[in-house]
Amino acid sequence: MAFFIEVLVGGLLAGLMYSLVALGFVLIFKASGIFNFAQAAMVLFAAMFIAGMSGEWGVPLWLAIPITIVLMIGVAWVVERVVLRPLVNQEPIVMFMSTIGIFFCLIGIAEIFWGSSSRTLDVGIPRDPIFVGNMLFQTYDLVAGGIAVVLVLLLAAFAQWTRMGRVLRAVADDHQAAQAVGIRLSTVWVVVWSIAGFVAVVAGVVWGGNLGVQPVMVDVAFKALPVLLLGGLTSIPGAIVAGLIIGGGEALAEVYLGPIIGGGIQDWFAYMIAMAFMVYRPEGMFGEKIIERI
Amino acid sequence: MAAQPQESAGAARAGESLLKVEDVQLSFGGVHALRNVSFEIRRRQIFSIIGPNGAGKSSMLNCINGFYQPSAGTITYKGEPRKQMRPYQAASQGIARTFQNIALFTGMSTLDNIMTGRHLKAQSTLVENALWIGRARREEMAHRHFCEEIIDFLEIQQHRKTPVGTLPYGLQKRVELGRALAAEPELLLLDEPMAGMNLEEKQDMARFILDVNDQYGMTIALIEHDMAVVMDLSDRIVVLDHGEKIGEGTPDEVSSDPRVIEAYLGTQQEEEA
Repeated sequence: MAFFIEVLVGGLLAGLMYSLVALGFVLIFKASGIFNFAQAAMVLFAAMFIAGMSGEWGVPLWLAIPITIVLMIGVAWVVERVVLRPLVNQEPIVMFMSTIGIFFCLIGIAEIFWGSSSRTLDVGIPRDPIFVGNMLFQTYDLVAGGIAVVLVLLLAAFAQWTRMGRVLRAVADDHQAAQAVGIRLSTVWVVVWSIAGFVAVVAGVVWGGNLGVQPVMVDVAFKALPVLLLGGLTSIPGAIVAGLIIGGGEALAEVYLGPIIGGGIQDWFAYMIAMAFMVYRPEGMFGEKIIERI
Repeated sequence: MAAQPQESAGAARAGESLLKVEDVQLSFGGVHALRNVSFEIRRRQIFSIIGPNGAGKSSMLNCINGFYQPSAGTITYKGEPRKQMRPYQAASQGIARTFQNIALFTGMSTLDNIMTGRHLKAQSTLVENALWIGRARREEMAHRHFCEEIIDFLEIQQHRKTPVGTLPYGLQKRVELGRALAAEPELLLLDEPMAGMNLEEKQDMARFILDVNDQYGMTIALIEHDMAVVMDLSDRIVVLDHGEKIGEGTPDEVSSDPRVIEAYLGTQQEEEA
């Protein structure tokens, strides 16, 4: 039993990391209906700049992180100017393709600056395991999970209680009505992409601190996709719960199912859960049910 | 509330020109939605745009609030001819509107919906907002107070915290009006505010419209299909048919205009007969 809980908790905490990345997707999709393929690249981009600045230029972390946040706001602004604004009112698939373009641009830019070698990123979170009774947990995972929870609570509070949060919710609900009350959509896009950028910074630091920073990180970030399938593209709680389910399910499957089928489950099991789920609820667990008039 | 001598009072109350539409044209591909339409809305007027379905009424409203750009002609607002106009710019110049098919933020509460109407009145910056410091807090209180007054005025106190998506249709229309009022507009555009309502709901809505016009001197441009309502409320009416203006005047003048009767009221009377 102790072992079971150990595995489960480890999985759940890893799942929260998936949620962190998925959150970035959800924010942008909710506000603009764009599936931002580049979110994973934004995580890598942020992580590479932080690791690069601290590793190569000796910039302390407490400075490198705010600089990168400002950088991500810059990215948001450029994306709005150069990509979103000229493409406004285009088909969603066109927007989607353009975010694939952004994906490769961001990775390219990050590699021009910092090369493609792997870097370590020491964010100062202790790595010693701690024992609770006879169960062993990783301190790093616990702290990272805590950070994810705090971030989600902050975002929820921002959305619920501030004016800008209300504006974002309004835009997510109805673009036309939002414009009619005087909301500038272009400003909202920049804000939303900036917030997604901020989430990417947090995810990048936490992921990078754990696994090191290297271009392969993008693959891990794509673990967010099954989370999105499961949680629905429009639900923040969905992203969290789905992350937990995927993370927990994956870890348990690896340990208990892995030996039977022959291991290596972790790479595809998440998609299996998500696909099985989609058969029953195509809009995801918390996604908005799409009712179409015929 | 004095609603009796509308026609005569309307003429006396009407102030200087607020919005002047001159030879406005609007076409989508080969379809002419509006052809050489001209009229003038004066301050404190209740101005109605009527016409059969597809006459171009909503298109006209969409031009005024910047959703559409006229392909020719000029729209002069507050004495200034305007060029390209985006909806948020129209809003920032004091034009608020409601929609034919209610466009509320359905996931949000009544109060939050009305609070979004205050968007342009807010001055605090994003950072102040995020950190909940400085002006953000004070401002939020002031806006909240203002919105509570609107909620009282529209008699929707008990639905303050209800997600508007779950409210009945008539109340949603009211919330939408509230959101437009929250912007303290100089020109209020109402696209079929009474469509799909029962008699009682219509009377309530008519009362709100008259009160807004009377107490705050707000100028109102209105599209409505219910002729009785239009004749009762309006100071001045313009009639569109197939994108063209076929009549204009006071309710009395319009309802006795043969062209209007032929195009619009005539068919209506036949239907009713």
